[in-house]
Amino acid sequence: MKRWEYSRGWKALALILNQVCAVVLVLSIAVCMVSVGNNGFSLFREDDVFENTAYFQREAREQIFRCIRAASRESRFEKNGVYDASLVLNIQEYAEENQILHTKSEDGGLCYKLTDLLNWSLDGCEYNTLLKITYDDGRIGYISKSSKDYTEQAIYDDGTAVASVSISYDAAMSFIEESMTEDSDEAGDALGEGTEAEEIFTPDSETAGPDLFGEGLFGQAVIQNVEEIQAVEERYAPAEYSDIISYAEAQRLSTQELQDVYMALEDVLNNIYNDYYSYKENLELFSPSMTNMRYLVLPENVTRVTKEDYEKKTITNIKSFGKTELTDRNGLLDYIRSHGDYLIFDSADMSFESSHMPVSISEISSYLKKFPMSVEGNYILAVAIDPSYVASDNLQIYKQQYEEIRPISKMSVYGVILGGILYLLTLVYLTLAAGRGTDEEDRSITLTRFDRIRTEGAVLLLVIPAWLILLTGALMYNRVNGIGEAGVFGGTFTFLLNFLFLCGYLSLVKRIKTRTLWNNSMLYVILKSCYRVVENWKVTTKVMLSYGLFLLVNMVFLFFEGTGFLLAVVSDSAAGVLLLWQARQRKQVLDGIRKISEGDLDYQIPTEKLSGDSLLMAEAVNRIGEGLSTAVEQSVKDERLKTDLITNVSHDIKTPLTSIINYVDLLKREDIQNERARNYIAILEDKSQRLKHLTDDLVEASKISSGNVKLELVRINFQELINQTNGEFSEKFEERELQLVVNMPREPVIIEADGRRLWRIIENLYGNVAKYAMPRTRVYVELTVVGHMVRFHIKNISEQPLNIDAGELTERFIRGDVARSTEGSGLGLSITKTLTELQKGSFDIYLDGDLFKVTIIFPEAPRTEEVKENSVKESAKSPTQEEILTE
Amino acid sequence: MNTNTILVCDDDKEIVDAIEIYLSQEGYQILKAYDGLQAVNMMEKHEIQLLIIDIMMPKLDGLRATLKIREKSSIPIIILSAKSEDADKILGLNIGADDYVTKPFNPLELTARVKSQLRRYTKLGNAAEESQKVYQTGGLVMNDDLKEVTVDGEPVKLTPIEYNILLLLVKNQGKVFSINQIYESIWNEDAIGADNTVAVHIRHIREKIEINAKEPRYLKVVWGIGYKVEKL
Repeated sequence: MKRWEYSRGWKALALILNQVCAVVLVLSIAVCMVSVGNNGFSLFREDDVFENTAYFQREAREQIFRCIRAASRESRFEKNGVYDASLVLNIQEYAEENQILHTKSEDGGLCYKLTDLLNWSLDGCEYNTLLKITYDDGRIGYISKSSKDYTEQAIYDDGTAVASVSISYDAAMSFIEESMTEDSDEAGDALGEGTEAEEIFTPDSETAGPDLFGEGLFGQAVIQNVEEIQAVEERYAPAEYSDIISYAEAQRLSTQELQDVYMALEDVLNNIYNDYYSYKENLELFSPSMTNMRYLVLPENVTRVTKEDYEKKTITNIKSFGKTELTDRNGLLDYIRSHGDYLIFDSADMSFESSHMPVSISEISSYLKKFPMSVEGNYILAVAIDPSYVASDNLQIYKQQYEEIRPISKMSVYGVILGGILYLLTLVYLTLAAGRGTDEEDRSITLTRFDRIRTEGAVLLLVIPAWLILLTGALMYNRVNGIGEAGVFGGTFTFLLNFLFLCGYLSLVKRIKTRTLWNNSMLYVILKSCYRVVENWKVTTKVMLSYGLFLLVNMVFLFFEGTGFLLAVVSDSAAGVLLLWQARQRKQVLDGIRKISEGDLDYQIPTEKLSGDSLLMAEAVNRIGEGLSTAVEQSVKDERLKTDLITNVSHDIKTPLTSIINYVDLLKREDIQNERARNYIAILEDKSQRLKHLTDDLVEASKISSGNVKLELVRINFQELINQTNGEFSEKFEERELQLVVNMPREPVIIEADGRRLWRIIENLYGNVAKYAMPRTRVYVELTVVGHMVRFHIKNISEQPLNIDAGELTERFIRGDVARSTEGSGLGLSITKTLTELQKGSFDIYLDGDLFKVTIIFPEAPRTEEVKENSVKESAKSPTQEEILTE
Repeated sequence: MNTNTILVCDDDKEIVDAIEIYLSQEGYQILKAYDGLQAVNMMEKHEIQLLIIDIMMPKLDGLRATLKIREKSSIPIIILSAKSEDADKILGLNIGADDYVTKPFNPLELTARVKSQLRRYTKLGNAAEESQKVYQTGGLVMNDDLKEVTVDGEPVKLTPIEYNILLLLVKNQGKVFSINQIYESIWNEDAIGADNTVAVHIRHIREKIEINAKEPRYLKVVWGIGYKVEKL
């Protein structure tokens, strides 16, 4: 029966289904993630609108602040709705972010032309140190480091300049340093000493120009004070003044005021270009075609909204109002309100009106402090979003995505659940089916070429493309536009990655099923070859190395005292335990060897708990044991086969032999007159009888030698047996006139033996004597007990010369007479010897000339049952005697 | 009377013929069969007093045939087989055969065994004699009154010593007597270093009462222990 569930068709279907499910699952999860929660569209709320989504709220908030920034900049760089580079700018007002552009400098502030400031800011400002020198006659002079020499004007209290004084910058600096030291030393009015000034201001023809010095009209003036001012090197002249110093003199600025002017200038120069650039940029970014945000700053002085007023006095990016008729402020605000999403903030009463706008009044007012509107008086700030979303900004994109995702968001939930379940199901099926075939019988795992690659190689083959795909994905991620494209993009990547995952996963499953995951790995090969190298080291090398390591560890540990000593003790005990463990393993092996050597060939050393060399040794010993045991089994089997063969053959011989014997016998009964014929018949009869004996002996010999006999051991009185045998053979001996001399102890000699087999042994020996002993000689039979052994001797003189070796006599088919003229099979002594040995006895033949002597030794049976035997004797005796007596 | 019918069954035709010759000389009527099936069939058709059957035969072997015949008949069955193992003999006797003769057989022995079986089957049967002085085991009967010994009805001549030894053993059937015990009982004196006298007498008795002295039915040698008469 085929297992249809593992067919190729089903597998292919499952693969495709799995891939599709993976794509569906990933896309659905993506849609869900976008749809859910504070970060997404929160699509699962029934009553939801775009304005409530987190995307909208984040973006709108950001855009509102950008609008405020844009309006703020616009208010600073435009006058009457236009930018005019020729306008002048009060730097101190600008620095305070409170400026309004002017056509010319007003109210005595330091003003520059806008163009000059922008160019200056673009070039960057350089710093300078300016020293302000105050003389005791009220004159004030300025000297800057870059001017090397001096720029000084002497100004009297009435404001008329009288003359110029020369003083070098370095001299002025040294005055500051000196006065500082004197200050600290005396704390007096040291500066009042004219002598010092005279010294300092001694004209120096070398350092000062002779012309200038020669012009000194007001004699020796004394420096009262020198102050240091951080100045900006002037590149452009201010409006209406030649330079800042002249402005300062004209305005009679104090040192602090002058310093403030410079700081304001520095601040302006550092920022104005960036501000201007942002302003220009905003003009473009906030054009109605670029953004859906609308802003309007309506100053309070704009009461009636005429077109001119609107263009010149408001700050806005709203260019047209559609069909709405704009007559007054409220009309304008109503227009704003008609957008749906808007906020209106009035700086006069801090009122705030908002619809869907994710900002609070406090955020707006604090942000307006950072980016104030440069308008006169209070104003109304309005921000709105064009509900048609015509401009392609982020809001439009989010709106579109929202509209696109909205219908599929509900489906994505089912996509996640269904896709997930199906994906898992197909994966489980593929796991089960991986490598299996449709054949019911064949349970093996089919491996593809990929599954045979080394594990690490396979991992690389999958990880590299996966990594490349991920890299490509990361690079392409930003170029994706729109939900549809994202779907195709995500789907493709999911498909490819899942494909790679399936390849790897199914290969892994198959590798685990066939147990090749580890065996086929590179690491395994390396470890194994390392192990082989170690394994093939000589035993001595291994021992030396491990001993060396042991010594080294000990030395290292002993080098550190205290804990080192403790560690040494621990490591030494561990080594001791290891040695003990190994010794135990060796003992197991030795026990096994002993058992096998003692004859338990089937014994197997248990190898489960062994390792290393002991394991190898145990396995080798087990193999030797197995070999021995099979060899023995084989030889026993062979011997048995031989016996069976001989038994069968002898059966087959016996049937025709029966006929021969019978018909010879019948022939003999015929009345045959011919003497010769009768002689022939006699020979036939004799030989057929001998053939019969031969077959019987042959069967018995082979049976005994193959161990195919069952012994019934009983306690036997050896003397009784000898007497019985003597009786049986008395006539045969008499026939050959052999005189039997028996020598036995009076005590009964008991051995444990099988009576019939023992009789067979003794009978054979007696039979031999009857056959081969020289007639008219004596035959000696002797029974002695030596220690716990019973020795039986039979000695006779051979009729034929015994010209063969004693050992050979017990070989099968060997007989004393080489001619084999006498009866006998040649198996008798062999059978006798084997039977003796079967009964734990020993059999020995001794030949000395014509003396033939057989010695049989049996162990004496323990005498425990002697008493019982006697009692049997008694009980047997008494009735018989009575019987005899009555007779 | 002496026209007992004997069925001889052996797949070897020559053996059957030889047996026929021997047994017809004794005046028996012989029927011949060459396989077990034939023997079973002939048993049903003819009135047969004794069966001699081989074991290894085609169609139905001797053991199965014996089993089959024993279902209906109690005639003496002698198995005649080349299988000479003890186990074979024990098996044969256990399944219902009365005697077991191994090939090659002595024709005289076979004839004697046939006669013995027939005598027991036809004459003695269950004719138990009443006299107290009569001891019997199997076909061996000793009448102490008449000092007469018969084996399967045939008288046997024993010397007085032989008679006394046999009587001792037959009276105590199944009990083993050592040489010394026998000597002391019969000669009524202590057996000092008993020799082979008793053993020789026993052998003589065996030769007289047994068909084959080497495979005695009645007087058995228990090697190394003594002698006994089997209780049959």
